[in-house]
Amino acid sequence: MVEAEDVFDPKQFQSIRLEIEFKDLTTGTEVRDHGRISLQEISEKTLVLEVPEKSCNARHNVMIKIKQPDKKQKKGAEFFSVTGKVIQLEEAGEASLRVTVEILQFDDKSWNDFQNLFLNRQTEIENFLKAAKGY
Amino acid sequence: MVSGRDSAEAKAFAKYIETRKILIADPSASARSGLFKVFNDLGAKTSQITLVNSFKQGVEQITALKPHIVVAEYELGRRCGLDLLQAQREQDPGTAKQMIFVIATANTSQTAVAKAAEEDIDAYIIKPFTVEIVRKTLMKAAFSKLHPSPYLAAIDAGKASLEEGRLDEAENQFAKAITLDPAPALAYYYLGQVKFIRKITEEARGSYSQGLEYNKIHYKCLVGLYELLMAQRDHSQAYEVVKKISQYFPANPKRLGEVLRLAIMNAKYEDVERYYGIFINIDERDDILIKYICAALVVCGRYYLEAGSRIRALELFQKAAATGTGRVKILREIVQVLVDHGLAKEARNFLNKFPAESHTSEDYLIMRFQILNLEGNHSLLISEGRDLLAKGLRDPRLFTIMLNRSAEANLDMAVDNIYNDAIRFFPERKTEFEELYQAAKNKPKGPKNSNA
Repeated sequence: MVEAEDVFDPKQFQSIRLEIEFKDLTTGTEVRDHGRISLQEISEKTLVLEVPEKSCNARHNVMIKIKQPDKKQKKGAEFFSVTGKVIQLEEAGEASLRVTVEILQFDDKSWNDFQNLFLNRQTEIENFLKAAKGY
Repeated sequence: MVSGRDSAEAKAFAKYIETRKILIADPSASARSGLFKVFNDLGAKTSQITLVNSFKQGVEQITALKPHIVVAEYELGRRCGLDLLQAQREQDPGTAKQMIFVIATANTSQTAVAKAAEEDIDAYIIKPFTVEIVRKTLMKAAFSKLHPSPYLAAIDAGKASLEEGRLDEAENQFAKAITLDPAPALAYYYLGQVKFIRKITEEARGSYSQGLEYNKIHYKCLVGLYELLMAQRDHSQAYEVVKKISQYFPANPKRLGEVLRLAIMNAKYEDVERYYGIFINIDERDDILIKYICAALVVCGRYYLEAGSRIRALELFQKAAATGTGRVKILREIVQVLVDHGLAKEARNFLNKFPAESHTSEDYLIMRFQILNLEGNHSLLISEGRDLLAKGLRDPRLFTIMLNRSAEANLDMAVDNIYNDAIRFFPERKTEFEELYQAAKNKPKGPKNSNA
């Protein structure tokens, strides 16, 4: 039997929001407008981000900090920070770049927690859809 | 490591996807590029994948290409990517069953997910995604279409019979489906539909309820039961069901309107405040939703005012005014309720919230006039009233107040003129004005108004 509380969490009314800081450590260039950075894909050892053009170059080292914005606090709670190397870089239209970063230095637990945040929500969503549809 | 079975499935999927036309609709070039690569890696031909960045282009391409698979971002400019599903279904209802519609979005809110569930989409992928999740999700959706389980196959067969009006066959298929799944809520829903068409409403109700015994949040059973109860005018039970629907599927403005209406019909005023709590947590609040919630808060506030809970009523009015910022209609309703209850100071506080550009509107002027009437400066009031009548403002409340105050000030000729104008402009309210006029005429004479 499917119970509502098994597949429905009223705490999930708000979307997961991320604030991302991005700095090219090789040149010292930092993206000031955090709203123009978005995380597109994650894998075991890479992150794919969309960033403004000229934010970094191929093979440069970068630092990425990912936070969860908090309306009450000026600075959001940090999920994790990571340093890595740009292994792929392509133009993504509208003065943006699609950047694939191989992550090199990071805290294993923070990284796993971060991945699980999305994996768990994906599972919750699939369970909810299945229950709501009935198949 | 990829197992033999996974590898066989991947090959089958690559074969399936090779001939499929795919549309990816996403405002982000990077997201489009990422999804393109995933499809490409899974075996889709480059020439079969079309990328668009807006809702308009999405509709155009759906019409032109008739894609088998659509992947859309939920937030597609000013439109919702889910709206592309309707365009896809309209293309060819006959083959719609084979089509796949997927939302890929950074919007992970329950509101968006519930809206997608209502639309019966095939999959919902959140961003940032992993290539593996996209692959698994697409394969699962495709295999479910290509090789439906015996349970879904029986339901599909029943649906086909239902569409053609063969009710006995449909009923048999749904009854068979019930035996094929441990939680056959969907089969019970369709069985309920058959009973409903046969006008055996109690059995239909039983089927929907049975489905909900297996699955408490089954959308179709909840909606089927709700509609049946509404048709039976069982508003109390209908309210209990729609309360659940709006809790789990909160983004449907039409339904929130219904739940608020039923809450008020069933005198569940405290629930209105709870719905307000849900409302303020919803990411997407469109105009209709705002209108419904404001109207319900005002009705609820009026109830509390009549029940003597002035502070609670004023809190609700504050919420309504804040939610409907700048909406003159909401403010007008609030001011009118407060005027009707003789609360001049509170009414003026809300009158002050009218936007400056509305200060010459009839709504504003009549509200201000009524407050002035409550505040008691009658000589100023008569002068204001004359100005409003001279400006052409025609409102029964204006005539009523002017009749009473002119009579109190012994302005007999004015009383006659106002009465004649009132019945000329509002002949349907002649009896009411006639009574006021007679009362005014019979009133003991007071001191003459020096400003008259």
